[in-house]
Amino acid sequence: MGLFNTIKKLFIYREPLQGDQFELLEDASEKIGSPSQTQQTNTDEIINQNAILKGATDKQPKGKKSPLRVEEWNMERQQDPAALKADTTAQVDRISKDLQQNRLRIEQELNIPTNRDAKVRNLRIGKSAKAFIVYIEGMADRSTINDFILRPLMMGDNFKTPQEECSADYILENILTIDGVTKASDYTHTISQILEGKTALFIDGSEFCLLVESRGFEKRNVDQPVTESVISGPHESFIEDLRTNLTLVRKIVKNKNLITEILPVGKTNNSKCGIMYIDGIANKKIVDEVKRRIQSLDIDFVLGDGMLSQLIEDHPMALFPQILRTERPDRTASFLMEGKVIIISDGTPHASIVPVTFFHMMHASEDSFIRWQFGTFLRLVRYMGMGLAMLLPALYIALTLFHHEMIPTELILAIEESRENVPFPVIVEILLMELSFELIREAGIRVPDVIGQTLGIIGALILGQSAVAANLVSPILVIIVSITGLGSFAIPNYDLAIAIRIIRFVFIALAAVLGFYGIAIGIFIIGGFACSMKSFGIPYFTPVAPRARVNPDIVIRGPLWKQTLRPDSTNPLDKTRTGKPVRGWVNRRQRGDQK
Amino acid sequence: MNSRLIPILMTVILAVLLAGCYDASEVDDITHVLAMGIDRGVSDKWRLTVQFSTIQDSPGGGEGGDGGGGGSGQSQGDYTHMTVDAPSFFAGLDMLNSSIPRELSFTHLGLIAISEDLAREGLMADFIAPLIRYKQIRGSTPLMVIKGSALDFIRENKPYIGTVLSKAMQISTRASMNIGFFGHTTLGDFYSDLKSTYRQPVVPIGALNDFKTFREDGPKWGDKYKDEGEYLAGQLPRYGVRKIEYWGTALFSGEKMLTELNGTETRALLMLRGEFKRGFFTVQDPKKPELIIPLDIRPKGKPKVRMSFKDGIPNIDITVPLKGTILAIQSGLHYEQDPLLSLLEKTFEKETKSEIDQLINKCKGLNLDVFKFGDVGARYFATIQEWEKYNWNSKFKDAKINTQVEFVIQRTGTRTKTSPIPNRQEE
Amino acid sequence: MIEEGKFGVQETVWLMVSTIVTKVFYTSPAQVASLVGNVSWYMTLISTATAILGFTFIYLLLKRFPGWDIATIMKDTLGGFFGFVFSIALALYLLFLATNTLSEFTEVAKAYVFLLTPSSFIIGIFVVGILVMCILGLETQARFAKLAAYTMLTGFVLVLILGTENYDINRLFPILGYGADKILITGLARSSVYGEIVILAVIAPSLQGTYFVKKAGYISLILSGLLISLSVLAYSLSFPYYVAQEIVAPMYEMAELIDYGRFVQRVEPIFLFIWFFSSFISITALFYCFVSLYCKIFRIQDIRPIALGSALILFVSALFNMDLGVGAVQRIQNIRQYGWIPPFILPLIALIVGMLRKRGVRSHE
Repeated sequence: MGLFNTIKKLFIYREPLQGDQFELLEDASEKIGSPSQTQQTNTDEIINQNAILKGATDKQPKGKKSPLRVEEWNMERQQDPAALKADTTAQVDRISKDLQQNRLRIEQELNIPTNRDAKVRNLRIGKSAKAFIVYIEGMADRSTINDFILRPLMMGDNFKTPQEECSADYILENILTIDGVTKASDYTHTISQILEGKTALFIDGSEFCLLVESRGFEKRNVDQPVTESVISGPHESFIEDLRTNLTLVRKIVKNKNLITEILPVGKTNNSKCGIMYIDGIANKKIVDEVKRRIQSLDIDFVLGDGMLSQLIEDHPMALFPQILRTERPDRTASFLMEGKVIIISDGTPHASIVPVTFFHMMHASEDSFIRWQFGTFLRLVRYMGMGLAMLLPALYIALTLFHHEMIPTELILAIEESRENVPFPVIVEILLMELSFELIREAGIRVPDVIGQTLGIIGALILGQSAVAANLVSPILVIIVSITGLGSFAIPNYDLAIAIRIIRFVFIALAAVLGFYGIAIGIFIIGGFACSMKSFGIPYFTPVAPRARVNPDIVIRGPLWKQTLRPDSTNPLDKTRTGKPVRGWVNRRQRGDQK
Repeated sequence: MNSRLIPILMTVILAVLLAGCYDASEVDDITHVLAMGIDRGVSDKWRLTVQFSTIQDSPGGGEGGDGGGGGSGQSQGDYTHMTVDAPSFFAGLDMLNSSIPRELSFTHLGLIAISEDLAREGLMADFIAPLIRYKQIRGSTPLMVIKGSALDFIRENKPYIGTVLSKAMQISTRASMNIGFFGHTTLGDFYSDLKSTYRQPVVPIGALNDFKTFREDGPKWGDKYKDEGEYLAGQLPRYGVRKIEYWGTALFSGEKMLTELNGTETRALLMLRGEFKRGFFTVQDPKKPELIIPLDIRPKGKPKVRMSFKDGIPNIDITVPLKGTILAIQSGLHYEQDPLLSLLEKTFEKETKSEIDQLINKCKGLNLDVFKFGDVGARYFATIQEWEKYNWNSKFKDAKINTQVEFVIQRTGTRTKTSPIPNRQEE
Repeated sequence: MIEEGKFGVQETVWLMVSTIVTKVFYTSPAQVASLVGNVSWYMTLISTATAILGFTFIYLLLKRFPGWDIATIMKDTLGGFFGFVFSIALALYLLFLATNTLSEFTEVAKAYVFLLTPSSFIIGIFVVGILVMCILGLETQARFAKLAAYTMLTGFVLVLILGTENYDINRLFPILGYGADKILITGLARSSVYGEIVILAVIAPSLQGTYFVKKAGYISLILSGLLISLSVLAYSLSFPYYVAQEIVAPMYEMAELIDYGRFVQRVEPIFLFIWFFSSFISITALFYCFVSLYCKIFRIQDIRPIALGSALILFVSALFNMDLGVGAVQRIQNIRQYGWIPPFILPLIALIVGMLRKRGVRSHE
């Protein structure tokens, strides 16, 4: 039946859904100026734009709806769950004055005593008022609880007239020597905070509880980046903790306009993500779009960027990554300065950056730390590596199967000779080697660290050598496959590298079928798909196609003092990043400097 | 959208993969012909000889374990050749394919050798026409006329230095750039000259030297002067392994070979055509004719051709600019400076001019414009119709041609002056 | 209305230039050489000038109706029936161009690269590519054209520079070829080479305004004129006129002749890729504009089902063209002699009628 339906769908025309694809276009209302001017005037516009955006998204896709009967309509209304619950839950959710009732409720919510992680401890404040604290063992720091919550509370000296001074307000203001203490009056919030590692203090007769900052779970130290290591430049990398990550970025961008917004994602694991942008540089529309997408998520479990970015990217079916993930705070900060939006979420040592273009994927953070000539050279090497990784095996196939006349005579005779005892056709030969190479790669990541490195090198060497000796492949092919592998390692972005590795096989297939023509049509179609892609409203190949005003920083990295602009494509509110003469000390008439 | 796109894509991909690979052929299914020789056949019209590598690596024998050995990958093993008498090139191709265990491919053809008797019979066009149309044969393949049989030539066509024949062939056919005793003509050049109404084809000559002109014993030469270019192909007095030598030029009238030029004439021809690149020349010492002065000659620019028409007869002025370096002065006279310097220049100019004039007269006698004068002549006509009506090739024999050689000695090598040898006896 | 997106002058220019210049890689140069001899390099400049004149009329027409496409304009100026007829004629002309270019491409590909592969296979793969691009939309095509333009231009210039080895200035003489009258007549008729410029009228709404249409149109025409002239000049320098008119694809053979020493030879791959890409871009643009125009004429909102059907038509007609046998290319060339009528004359009539009837956007206010 499924097959039948599929076939039927092939032949039946369906009207396309009017997708509301987000596109970043320049509005007439958008006034571009310096950040100080825009700061005030922006707020009205933001509200307007929000309204427009909401209006746009609220529109339902046009489709025929058959009229409802009255009974059905009534039933639909009665079943509206949100409306029903709203009143009752408000009542139930409120923290009661009765301590015992609170305790029962908490035990019920946290599944005590089944759940051994949740701890409740009864105490008497100042030896008189009844109270209890709740925390999750392991999430909360035991010494904080002992020294700064229990000790001041239970020392009678702090309370002179017990009756009056046991009120929660008094404790908040006078007793607890901890910076983060907030009041909470509903269970939902309280429970979620407890789950994050805070300690809740319930006091008899108080309509709210105190949430005391006591988070102290185990986390890794800030370490060196693993996949984006550099020679010159900082050696700091994100870790799995959201708070630390946000701090790492803020440590670099010490700007009052650096805004961090925290949004919840993942309904069941209650994870959070932080959105960072610089107010006055980042375009509000992009920020709103990011928030809209994240807020609309309805999923139980999100662990970190890898999962989050899959849920919010524009083209989930496309091979190319549309969100840049980095584990380097310095790189993140430099994107912030370009007016991009950063999404950092709990759980993975990465930050996601939107919107990005293809060219960003080919940049490495090292580029900016070394002189521009070196940076340009490294980039060119990288682009060459990408080209090789994508096309070299395919070109080899095309040449050896279809276009013999294009190989130099000596080389083709050498190939002929080296293939003399090989029983397979070239295509099998190359697939064999490529697949074993991929295998070595994947295995090298999975095996324990100690063996991993040796496996990679030894495996490749021995495998290649023995394959040649056993007449399974020709020696030239080993060279082709190794260069391809090297090329793919040169791609700085891990996601893009995987995409290229997959695309390589498409090209191999096409080249085997139609030679150069196949490769060309492959580039045409894949290139077409890539050109039609957008990353948060920005076309994928932006500064080149479509053209946008941009720094000399796409393929060639121009000198720093020539990079005066923020990328036009993201419509940053402040377009320039430098003063007129960047290097004030240089004589103005010197060549190369801006007027 | 996607639920529909995926089956479509899968169908397409499957169809493509199943249907493709029409033109694909594995490298090892093919043997690449490196040189081709054409003779007049006995059993049939053409005798077609193809030379190819047997891909048998003599030292290693199969795959040596020393993966990095670039040398072993480059060696092409042995070469062999096959000959067939066939009514046409393509018929011969298929006849050969029936016995050769691999398919013959001409995409890497490095040389087309045509026997002299075939060329003299005027059968070139018959054979060249199908070749130029054949996709596998490139227009840039060099063409040679072989004295004797092309089959013998192919038999002797071996690398001698190194193991790679294709490299050896390319280097030796391109040696014309350094010596100028033979030219470089490609299949495409020959074809377009063949079709031309205003120029005639020239093809370099290859020959097998049987080493008979080399005499080990006999009276010694003495002091007489003989120009090194006066030999014809195959007659150089040399001795050594490789019998093949490229020397001189075959002149064609259309498809028919008329005559052969020796080395000196070939150099003059190349100078007039603007194809001369470099060569060592020997000049008799103007002061002491028994001694010589070798010069390294290069062109100083393209030959300048001016033309005028009087009563429908072309009047051509051609200037050949040359520059040179003194390689040696046997006499020790101070030729590095005036007045001897200009004397030397004048001598060379005179000598070269006389060589050029001789060649021009020879060609005028044969009515062959092999000097590309017709190309310049075309400038003086407005339309192609007028030009073709004028019929340059028939007018060439009447043309008045004034030649001029401009020669400058620019360098004197590593010495600025030569002191005479004091003990030398004046004769 | 169909969503076609917006794009800038640069993208448009490269899209148009790729579309127009592709023909230089096929049989056209040889055909022109047999008509005018060795002078096609400046003959084509006459064609460019004619085409610029023709485009001026298109532009004037578009200027009266800023933001409109040609189908709507035709309907407004010529009335329902004649507008329909004219638009359909224009659409068919575009389909005809696409079909011819496709079969010419296949012809040349079969002659030089894929001797054994059946035409249906080459055309089939091509049509799949076109269809995908068509569904992805005009914006994507324009962007791809821009992106590919850099590599294509580099390769093109490289081939031209490497070819200098075989250039001989004397091959440009006699300077008038087969006669001035022939040059003039052929030059005027061959303005059809630049007839693709009419697709600007179809995609005009996608540009930011009429000023940009004008800019893009003139720049594309001049640039393509220069590129065509340059490449034709290069092959006129490489082959004498009597050989040039024999060759199927002179540009390809020109690339084949490049031979510097033992390594810099056999450089056709560079050329092959330029040739493929420009053909892809060109035929896709023509085909897309046909589909788009068709949809605009019949006010169809969704382009995809029409694209699918039209792709089938394109496939079949190109194949049919090939199956007719050896003369196919010759026939195409003969028809090309009259190819200037639809792109330049139809808009001119619309313009004149529009002026007489005083139609224009202002008349709608």
